[in-house]
Order: sequence, then C-alpha cells, then structure tokens
Amino acid sequence: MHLRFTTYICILSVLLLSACHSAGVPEKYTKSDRLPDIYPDYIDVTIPVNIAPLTFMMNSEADEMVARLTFANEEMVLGGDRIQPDVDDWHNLLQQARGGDIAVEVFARRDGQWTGYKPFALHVSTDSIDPWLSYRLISPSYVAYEELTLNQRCLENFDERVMVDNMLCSTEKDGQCVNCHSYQQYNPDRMLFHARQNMGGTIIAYDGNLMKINMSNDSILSSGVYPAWHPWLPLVVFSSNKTGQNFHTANQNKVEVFDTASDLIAYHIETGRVTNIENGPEEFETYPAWAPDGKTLYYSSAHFVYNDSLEQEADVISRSKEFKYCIYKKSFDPETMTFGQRQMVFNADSLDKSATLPRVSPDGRMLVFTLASYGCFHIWHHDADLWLTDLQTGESNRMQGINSQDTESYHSWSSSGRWLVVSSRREDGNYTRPFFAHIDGQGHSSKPFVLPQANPEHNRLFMKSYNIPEFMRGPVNFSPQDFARALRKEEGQTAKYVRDFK
Amino acid sequence: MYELTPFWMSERLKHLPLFLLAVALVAAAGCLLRFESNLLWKVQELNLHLDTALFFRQQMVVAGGWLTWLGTLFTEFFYHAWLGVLLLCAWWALLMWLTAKAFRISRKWAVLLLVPVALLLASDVQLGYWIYCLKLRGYFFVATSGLTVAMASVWGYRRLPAWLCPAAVVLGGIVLYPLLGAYGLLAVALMGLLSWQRSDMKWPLKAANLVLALLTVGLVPVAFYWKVYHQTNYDYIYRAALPVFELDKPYPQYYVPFLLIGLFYLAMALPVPEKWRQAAGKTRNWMMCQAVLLAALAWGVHHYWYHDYNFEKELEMRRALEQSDWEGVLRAASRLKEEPTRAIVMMKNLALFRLGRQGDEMYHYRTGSKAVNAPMKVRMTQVVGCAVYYNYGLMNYCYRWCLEDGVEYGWRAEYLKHMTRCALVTGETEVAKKYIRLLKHTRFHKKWAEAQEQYADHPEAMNDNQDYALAKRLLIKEDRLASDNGLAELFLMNALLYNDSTDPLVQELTLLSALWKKDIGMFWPRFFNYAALHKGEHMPKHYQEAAYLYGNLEHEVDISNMPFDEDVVRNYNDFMAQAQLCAGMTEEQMQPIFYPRFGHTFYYEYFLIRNQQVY
Repeated sequence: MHLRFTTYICILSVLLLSACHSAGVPEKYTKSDRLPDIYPDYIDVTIPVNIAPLTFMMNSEADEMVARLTFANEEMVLGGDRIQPDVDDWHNLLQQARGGDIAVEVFARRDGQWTGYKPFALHVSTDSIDPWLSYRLISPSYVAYEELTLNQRCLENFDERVMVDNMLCSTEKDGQCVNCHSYQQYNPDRMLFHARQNMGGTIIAYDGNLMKINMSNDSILSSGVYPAWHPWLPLVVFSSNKTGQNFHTANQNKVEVFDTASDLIAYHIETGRVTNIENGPEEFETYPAWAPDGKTLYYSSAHFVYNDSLEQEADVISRSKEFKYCIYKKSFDPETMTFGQRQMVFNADSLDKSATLPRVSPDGRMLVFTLASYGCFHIWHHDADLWLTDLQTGESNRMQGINSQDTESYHSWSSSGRWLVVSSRREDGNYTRPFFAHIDGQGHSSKPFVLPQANPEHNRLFMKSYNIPEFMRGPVNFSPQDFARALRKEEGQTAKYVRDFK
Repeated sequence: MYELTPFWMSERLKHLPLFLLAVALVAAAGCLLRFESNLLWKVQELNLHLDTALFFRQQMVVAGGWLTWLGTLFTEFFYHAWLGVLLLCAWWALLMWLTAKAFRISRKWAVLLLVPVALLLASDVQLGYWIYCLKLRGYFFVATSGLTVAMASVWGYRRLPAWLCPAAVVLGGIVLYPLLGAYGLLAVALMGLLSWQRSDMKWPLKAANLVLALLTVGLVPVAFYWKVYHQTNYDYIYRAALPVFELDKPYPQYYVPFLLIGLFYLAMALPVPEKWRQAAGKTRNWMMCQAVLLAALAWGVHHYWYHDYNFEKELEMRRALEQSDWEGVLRAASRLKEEPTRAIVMMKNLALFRLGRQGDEMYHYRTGSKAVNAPMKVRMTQVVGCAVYYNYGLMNYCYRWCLEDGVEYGWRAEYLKHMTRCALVTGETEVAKKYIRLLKHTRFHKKWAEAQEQYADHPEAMNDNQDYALAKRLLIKEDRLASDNGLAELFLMNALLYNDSTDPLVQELTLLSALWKKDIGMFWPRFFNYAALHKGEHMPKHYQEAAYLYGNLEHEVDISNMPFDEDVVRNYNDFMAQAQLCAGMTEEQMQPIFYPRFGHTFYYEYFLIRNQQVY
C-alpha cells in the first residue's frame, strides 16, 4: 500500500514538473531572415496599453515554439505548442512598454532543429481602448438561425459573457432572432436591441429599467431596424426597412440582402412617441448615425424608381446592382426636435459605388463608411472596404492600412476616437472577425489586429461570425434571463405615432 | 426487490438468464448490422464530434450537454458499423448490470433488464427520416449513456448509509441535472422512491427523502435556469437532453419509448407488496411473466422498427454516391419494387450521367415521385440535394444548404465535407482549410481531411483528381440571383437548362434538362448543339426519341434526313398505334398497358409520366 502511494506521488510529481517547466530560449538554432509565420498575424501591430494578451501559434506545423518578448530590462519567455502569456504578466509588460515597442523573437522547432526568426515589434500605444466590446455571435448562414447570442467581452482579459440568448425565448416551432444591439455613447446602462419573430419587440434598457417596445404602426414602414442613439437626448433614430434576400448561383458573394423599401423614423424613449423623418417612396434611407454634437444626423440613401410592370421584389432582384447608396446628412435642432433638409456628404453614385454605415469619430472630424460596388448589405460583398471622409476638408479616400483583400464592413469608433473596430472577413472570406486599428489625429490607420483569444486557434475552430462590434465603457449588468423575462411580456409598450415631435 | 433465491435453478442453469441477455444483445446487434448498416453509416455522417476544448464547452452550455458530448463521441464509431454496434451493446450490457445492482434484480428476473434495452433499441430504430431533422446530437447514445450514469448514481445512493441519503438526494440533483439533464432528474426521483424499499430507514426519513427528491426535481432546473444556463427556454428545462420531436407541430408518438423507459424505472423503484412477490415467484406465473414479457418486447421492437423500402434505397444509394461508386448507385436503383422517391431518381440520373450513359439509359429504370414516408415535411436538400447540387456544379447552393442545415440541426461531418469540396472547387481555399482543420479533429474523417489538404495548398493538384476535375468543369459560371425554396430538382434543372456551353459535358446537361422539362422550344437548339459537339458519334437513344417525337408532333423541324435508329422509329410507331387502341383511357389506365413494352422510352415518359410532384 505504501509503495503504491509513493508511486502515485512520484508519477504526479513528474507530471506536474513536466507541465510547469518554464520555457527557455534555445541555445542552438538556425537564424532565419524571415519573419515568423504566426497566427493570428500580430507582426508589427499597434496595440492599446490595456489590451488582453496576444496569444499566437505557428501557422505551419511545428513541434514546439518559444517566444521571447522584451522591453528594456523586462523579459517574458514563453513556450509550448502556442504562446499564451499570463494576463497579469502581460499587463505588467504593457505598462512598462507604454509608448514604446515590445520586441518579439520567435523560435520554432521542427524535426529536432530550432529556427530563430527575424524579430518583430508590438507597438504599445499610450491610447487605451474601451474595456468592453459587444457583438452578436451568428453563423454566417442565410435564412436559418438557431443559437444567436449578444455577447460582451472584456478587452483587457478573456472574460466573455452572454448578454442576450435567443434560445431563452425560442421554441421548436417559433424561433427568435436577436439583433442590432446599440448603446448611447458607450453607456452599458442605456442600450437596446431587437427581437424578431417569437415574442418579438424592441428591448430598451434605460438606467436600470427594461422596456419592451412594439414600434409597429400603420404610419411607419415597419418596426425600427438599424438604430442610432442621440448622444444625450432620450431619442433613437432608426431606419425602418423591408428586407429580403436572394442567393447567387455563381458569385462568391453567395447571398444578396436588399431592401425593397426603407425610411428613417425617430423614437422618443420617455414619451413613447414615434415619427417619420424621411419616407419618400423613391429614396431608400438607412443606417442612421449621429454626429457626436447631436446636431447632425448622417445616413445612407439610394434613389430607386420601381418599374411598374414588375413585382417590387423581383424588380429589386433583377436590378440589384443599380442600388448605389450615397451618404447624406440632416441638421437637427435638439431644442425644437426638428430636422432640416438633407445634404449630400459623399456621392458614391458618381463613382459607380455604394456607401453605407457612416460613423462619425468622437471628435466630429472624421467620417468612416463602407464602400462597395452596389447594394446595402456589404458584409456579404468581398469588395467592401472602409473609406474615410475628412469632414473639415470634405476629402474622401480609401483608408490605408486597415483594409484587406476581403470584406471590411461594420465599424465602430472607440470613445477616445483613437481606435476603430471593424468587422472583417480577411481570414477566410466567410467568417467575420473583429479587427482593431489605431487611428491617429489625421485619420491614418495602423495595421489592424484581431480580437485576442485565450486559445489562438479559437477563430479557426469557431463556426460563428462576430457581428456588429460595439465598444462599451463597461458590461451590461442585466442577465440573459432578465432580458428574456422582459421579452416574454405579451405585447410590450406600443409606440404612439405622431407627425412630429414639436 | 425480487430477491428470490434461485431455488428453481440447478447449479448448471444458474447462468442461463445471463446467457439469454447475451443472446438478446447479440440478436439486437445482428439485426442492426444486418438491416441498418446504411442507416448507421448515415447517422455517423450526420454526426460531428471534435476533440477540442471548444467543442466540449459548446456542448456544456445546456443541462445534459455532457451526454451530447458523450453521444457524439460514440456515434463516431458507427463509421465502422460493427464497432459502433459493439460499443452500443457494451453500453447496454453495462446499463443492465447497473440496473440490476440499483434495483437488486435477481437472476431469476433478469429478463426485466431487457425492458429498457429493448425500449432504447426501439427509440433508435424508430427514427427513419428524423435522422435528418433531429436536433439532439448523439441521439443514439444519449439516452443509453444518460440512463447508465443515472443507474450508477442510484446504485451508489442505495449503498449509502441512511443518514446520508437526504444530502445525497439534493447533491445528486445539483450534480446530475447539469450532467444528465432529464436523466439526472429521473435518477433523483428514483432515489426518493427507493427510500421506501429500504429497511434501514424509518418512515419519517423515507418521507423526507421523497419530499426532498420531489423538491429537488422541481427546483434544481429552475435554479439552473436563473443562475447557470442561458440557452434553454424555460418551457424545456425539465426535458433537457431529451429529443424534441417537434417541427411544424409535435409528433408525440416518438416519445412513447422514452415514456415507457421512465415508467419502467419508476415501477422498479416502487416497493412490491409481499403478496405480489409470492405470486410472481410461483413457477407457472414466473414462466408466464417471462414469456409475456419477451413476446411484448419482441413485438414492441418490431413495431417501432422503421421499415421503408425507399428510405433504405436512398441510404444505400447515398452511401455509394459518397464513394463515387456510380455502378453501385445504379445497382441499387435497378429492379425497384416500389415507386421511387425523387431522391432515388435524381441519384440514378446522376450516376448515369457520371458514367456517360444517361442519354441511352435514363428511362430504363423505374421512375416516380413517391412522397417520403414520414409524418413531417422533409426537404430534398436534406436527403440528397446538397450532394446533387455539388455534383452538377451548383456549389453556392450546396454550400448554402449545408450551412443552413448545419446552423439549424447542428454541424455534421457530411456538411463540413461538402463545404470543403465546394470551397476547394470555387477557389476559396482559406475557408476550405478551416473546414479541413475542423475535420482533422474528428476520429474517422481525419484521413479524408488530410487528403484534401494538398488541394488547399496546391489547387492545381485538383486537376489530377477525377471528381474535383469534373466538379470544376461543371461549375456553373453564370451568376443570377435566385432561390430554390427547397425544391432542389426543379431549381437545378432550370439552372442547368440555361448553362449552355461549348464543353460537350456541360452542354449535354442543358439537353438533359430540356428533356426533363419536356420543353420543345429549348430542346431543339440544345439537340443541334449536342450533335455539333459530338460529330461522328452515335446519338444516344433518348435524344433520338425526343427528336423523333418532337419532330412528328410539331413539324417545325425537318427530321426527314436525320439518321434515327431503327428501334427508335419502330417504338414510336408502335407506341402511337397502341395509343390509338387505348383512345379514351386515362393515363393511369394506360400506364400498366404501355409500361412493359415502352417503359424504357422517352415516349412513355413524355405522354404517360406527367404532373409529377417535384421536391
């Protein structure tokens, strides 16, 4: 018995020791003049001083790898089949390297031989990033959906929480879709999202209260869709869309999502009133976004005249490439709650392109939008890129650095205006991942980096897309069950239609 | 209970009950292997188990998630049917042993142990077309493993000292519910009931145990709903890890085996009155009970065993198709005893096309459009549509349905393989690598995935692979926006009809679809194109038949100089003569008269196979 116990202790000790052995830089290795082929690609990226550890692995097969991260006298040596820095050690290193570069040397062992690659740098910006990011996790399917969640992730570590889970209100017969989460000025206490189909409605969390709103009304096109919170008023502008989709037989874009009509509406949270802002039948207004001063509303709109001889959806499908959305703006008077006339901001049509998703930087100087050949749902367009308009000079250009050969679509500014998160399909063309880039005062972008994961292989194994990434100052404190309880209320509050807010 | 001394057995016969159980297991295994090897193959194709931490975590987000992890793990082994069946039987043997231990079932009553196993077998073989639309992953092993662990827990509970039992009931609920879902709740309920069989407990403790068990069963799922899980609708918290036979409406008949399993175990946990015990112990009664039970179990399993000729044919053909065994597909499609489903017809046509014999033989096989034998609606895309789309070059639609169904019913090896193929053929190598990586985390599809890596790394190597080279050649290049609404065959034929090409193979598909649609206007240009692209070759019979028929029907194309085969002309003339004789008869009346002589011609197809339902 004693012998057996001793044996167990010995085996356990060996296992523990082998698991805990600290990595060392190999003494002998062949020097390569190439940069290491690592996944995710973090080579020479600029990172916020408070970001979670960048974990990575060799892209090609390797038996073992070692990484040495150094800044001044600080050194971190990590090894194994992947590099996964400890969260506290990592943050210590970032604080030391604030405003400087961390040098990263990577060594890989194959067939008993070590190779030492050309070192690269991690540029540690002094600009921190908002600590939380929320997104929807959704499979890149077309019509079907099953498990959809709105998640929130702490960007300083790997803490990820589910905010909303559609399965709580889904049955086999009646599924529920949740979408379009949005915040007032990064405030997690003031947020909204929509639920469609079973137990549908718009859920608004406002300073500790949860409200379910039924915005459908005979006087508006449909219920609210893409939201834009006014920076300080209890006011949300939505687009109201009739959306359809069809499927390409050969094009790698695979699916085309389109509107057969869309308008702009505004909803006042405290009075529960809703009104139309723009509802011309030949103008397809969508994707509203407020300027940070709360006095200008930006949006996209396409001009389209139906051919009377065709059914509307068939007409849109057959002429889908004629949809060229331009960026417009409208003035807004917060005192009188009235909107002015629309003005063109970016005429994409003149370039035979289509511009969507305008988002103004927090300093009000830059406008970033997505540009592709046509249409309004650019996450499915491989040619979609981010463009930037300098609102002082009116000059617009394709953003350098942040774009890839594949899709860049939904984007969101950090509250400091120094970071931009963009939904990109650059990794495989199909699955959207959030990439972060540093934006300087002139609108120049650094090379973006993907959201760090505890396991660097995560994105390659994960079969869902990260949809609508939005920064937040903190986590939403309502639980998924709280939201489900609010959704289970039969009708919710019905919005009252008014001609205007005067 | 039933602790009767086996006085009736001689020493030599005391192992007889165990032998009978073994025979029953061997019989079950034999039947599964003999009759359901294609089903088991398909079940593992529709399964996915990854050896990653992420996959494990993804299963554990619901109560009973551990069972789906375990279920998908063991379902993998149906890749080799014998191995999967062996493991299933091993689980059942373990379940029987633990059930015997938990309820102290003596050898004399060992036949009772067959009840849950027979019901589990019935629950597995009752599925039929549900294999395509059931959302519970690892179904074949979930109930079995859930009950086995539940029985182990009940046995453990039984061995505890009485004073520990109340705590064990509560703790059992807290531990077992997240692991086993509804099976954990069953175990807790059984613990409460079993207290009444224990002689070392006084009735207040027995009552306390029962009340505690009921409270635990009632409250633990609620507590987990509010504090732990966020992916289960409140309405389903007591049914976690059970299958949901509900689509557009519920199909309650499929729950019967599960209900009976629950009732069986609850009955086992109840104390048996002494009078019953004595009565059952009498040899005559005992023998009658055994016989009735065995007969009932045999009848029950047979009753629940789903048999459908077309379903089995579809599986056989689908398996051959997966292996590009085109002759195998045709062997299965020959001499059909029943009107086939469209899936069978489509696979047969595909095989003939791949063998270059469709123009000569496509009407040599029995045709039809029998609806699938299932109470619920089954889409063609679920049965064979994806494979057919892929093989005819409509990659986007194959990919789409794999993705849609993967999202709705859970990711499956079959979908990932199709998506890999589609991505490789369309040149989306990065996403192909993603699926290859995932498949490399499976036990039996790893090899296939590794073989595809070379094509992702070196796409030019696909030209040396017969299947990929052909898929690339057939790839539909003309883009249009459309939707198939789940009607795969109709959509495919429309897509192929307009995919005219100078490639003889692609062009032949346009001719075939014109034939399928019986569209005379579309036929002629495609027929002439075909002739131009195959100069000096013999014109396949069915194309000749169509040309001869259309030429005579409409007289818009001069066919007088076309070199028709003698039998083409003769068959036409004979068909028309026969039709004169049958004037006034309906199509249904004419079919049996015409089929023996003309069933293999386009004439029969054109005139007597009309208004078929397409799926």
